Amino acid sequence: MSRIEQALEKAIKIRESAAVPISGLDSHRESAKKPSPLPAFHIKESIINPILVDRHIVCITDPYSPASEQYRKLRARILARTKQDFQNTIMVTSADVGEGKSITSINFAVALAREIDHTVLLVDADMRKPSIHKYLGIKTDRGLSDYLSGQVELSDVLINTGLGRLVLLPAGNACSNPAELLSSNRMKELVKEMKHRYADRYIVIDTPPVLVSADAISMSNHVDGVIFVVQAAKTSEKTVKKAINLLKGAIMLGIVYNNVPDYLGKNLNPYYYHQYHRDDRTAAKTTK
Amino acid sequence: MSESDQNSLDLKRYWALVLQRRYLALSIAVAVLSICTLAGFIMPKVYESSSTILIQRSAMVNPLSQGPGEAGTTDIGIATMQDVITSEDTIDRVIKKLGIDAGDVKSPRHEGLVKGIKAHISVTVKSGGGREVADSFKISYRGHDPKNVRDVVNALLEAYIDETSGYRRSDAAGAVDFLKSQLSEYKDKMEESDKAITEFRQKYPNLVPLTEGSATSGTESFQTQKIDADIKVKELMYKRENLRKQLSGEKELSASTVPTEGSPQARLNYLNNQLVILTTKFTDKHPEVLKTKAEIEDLKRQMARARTSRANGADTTSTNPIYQQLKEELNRTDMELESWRTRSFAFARQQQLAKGVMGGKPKEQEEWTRLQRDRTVFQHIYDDLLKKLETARVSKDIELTDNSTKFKVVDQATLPVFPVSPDPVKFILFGILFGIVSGAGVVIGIDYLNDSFKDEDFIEKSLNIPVLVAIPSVVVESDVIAMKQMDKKVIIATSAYLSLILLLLFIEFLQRYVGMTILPF
Repeated sequence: MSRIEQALEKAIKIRESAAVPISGLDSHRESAKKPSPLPAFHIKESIINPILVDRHIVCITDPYSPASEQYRKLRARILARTKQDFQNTIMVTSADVGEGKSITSINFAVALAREIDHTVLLVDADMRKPSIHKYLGIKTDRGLSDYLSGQVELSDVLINTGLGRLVLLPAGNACSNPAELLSSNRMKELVKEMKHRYADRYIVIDTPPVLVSADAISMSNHVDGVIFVVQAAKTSEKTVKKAINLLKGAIMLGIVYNNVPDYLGKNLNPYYYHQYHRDDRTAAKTTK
Repeated sequence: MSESDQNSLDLKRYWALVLQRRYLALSIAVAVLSICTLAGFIMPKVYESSSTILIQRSAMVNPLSQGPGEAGTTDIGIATMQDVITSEDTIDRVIKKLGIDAGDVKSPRHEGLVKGIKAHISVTVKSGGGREVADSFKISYRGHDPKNVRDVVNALLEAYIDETSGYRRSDAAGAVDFLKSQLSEYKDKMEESDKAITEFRQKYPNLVPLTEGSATSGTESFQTQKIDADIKVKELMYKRENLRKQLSGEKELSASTVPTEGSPQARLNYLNNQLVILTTKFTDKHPEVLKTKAEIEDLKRQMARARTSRANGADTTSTNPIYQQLKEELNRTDMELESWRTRSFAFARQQQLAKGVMGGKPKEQEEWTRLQRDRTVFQHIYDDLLKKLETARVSKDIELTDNSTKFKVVDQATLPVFPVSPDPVKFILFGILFGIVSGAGVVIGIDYLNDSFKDEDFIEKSLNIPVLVAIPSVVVESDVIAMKQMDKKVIIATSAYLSLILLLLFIEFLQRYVGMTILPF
């Protein structure tokens, strides 16, 4: 083992043993600098089987695809944007259903988790139509809704996915009042705790569409930035503008222009990407 | 990016769009093709029958416009022909001929029927040599009943030919009548002119020659005759002078018993010979013959007297015959001279008289000239009209005896087998073409009308928010397999359907355009 590797392992151990105090951490920067006094959660492990993962989660199923490359690009841009102030709580939403926000959340979180220096918590806040665990092929019986309603502890619902340092907080059982739960004090405290507990790590929250419910609007007040997903050739300009108007006050990190078909992909050149990554794929298969 | 690259990109984009939404495009194309094919078979059938007629030109003479002996032409104007064929009068004849119950002529039903027939008549005229004159024409009629269509065309053709021939006959007959009236008028004018000339001659008998030409020729004749007379006078005067000189050299009396040269006997012989020669040339009453005969008689008398005196034994002297002859010749010359002088004078007088007639009195002469001119003009017109009248009569006779030679029916209207509309071949071909265009058009149109975001730059401009990434569509393997299976099914179904349509197209094509009978219906 080289000296660099020894140093990295030591650093990881130090970080893992670090704790962030809940009180007295008003700014992210401050919290980032000071080690957390809180002990780490005991997280149950649920290693994701790639075979069961939905094929749209390309960062797991096809990491050398053009789409995966775009998610890596998204990771780089978000890191560049949030690096200075370490705005680590990011909400992913869209104007309407079916625009690909959950897939974007998962792929973005996976891409982020594969980064050496970051641990990522992926929160499924779409309690009306939870889907993240389905995409990842995980069976869950409890989650965020159960925690917010006080039925379980947080440590009971967190799942270590085994994908880098990706931790999943599933939506949990369906409930009738998700908006109230998301706007509750418990939710505020949870976000605060998460931010502070994972001060050097990113929290990606997948929320319901803005125009479908008020959940995303409620959540937008607790996060550091919003990634807005727009599906190409589907979402109208009017709809998107309406949704963005509803998110006034939130920090808009940018738009993910999703599911761009070939005929619209003027900036995408599949041939180029396939050619470019062909050697990588060949190398990967040889290694296996 | 250049403009050509942009266009190329647009085309590629549209093609990719159509491929992306191929089921929609295909559905629309098949629907359009089905509608067109169905329409080609179930739409009300329209039949067309036509007849082509050749116009033969040398059939008649237009008496008013053509000269005598010149071949005439049947110059039928294109516009006139179309107007006549589609005229209500012609259609009315067709209705009567076909026995269609159209009610009263002025009834709305009748008018509607006439208009309906008129709207479906088509007259195509072909003209030759770039002239506005028809060489042949084609009458077509369209309708739902094939038998009726054929009958209408034939009836229309007959009605038109009858009408045109009738017009021509009346035209020729009218021309004859007109020419007759003109002839009568000019005949009267000629008679009036003759009467005026006669009166003028009676009024001015000494001034007016028979004709102006004769007056001119009379003057010239008198002048010529006077010149001849003057020449004769001069010749006679010269002859007389010579005779006088000869006479002065001869003695009046001489003694002579033996006939010598220049004696009366020798002279008599000479004159007899001369007489024979003259009688061969002239008649007995010619002056030279008479003169020679008179001289012979005179010589004979002289010789008889000489013989009598010698027998009496009287004087041996006798009158010199040469002297006597010269004397007599001189006397005759004097007489002739006097005669020719008189003639010359008379000719001069006649010439003066003729000159006085020509230029003596301008007013009367002007009147005379006018009368002569009018008479000549009337005569010319009368002659011309007379010739045209004859031509018109001939033309009229031709018209009455040979009407059918003007039009020759090249193609008789026959019972149409296939309707001209709808033509399933055209409908199917149109359906294929229009289906493809409409399928692609609808897809592109929907995309155009879709106000969703299709461009990253536009999103940034519109929302003023940066686009972080553009994620391409993720096509998973299972989807690809499912899509391929679906494509396969669609292709099989579409191919089967298209094959059926193409089979129909092929059968219809063979039946309509090749003439093969494949289906019994």
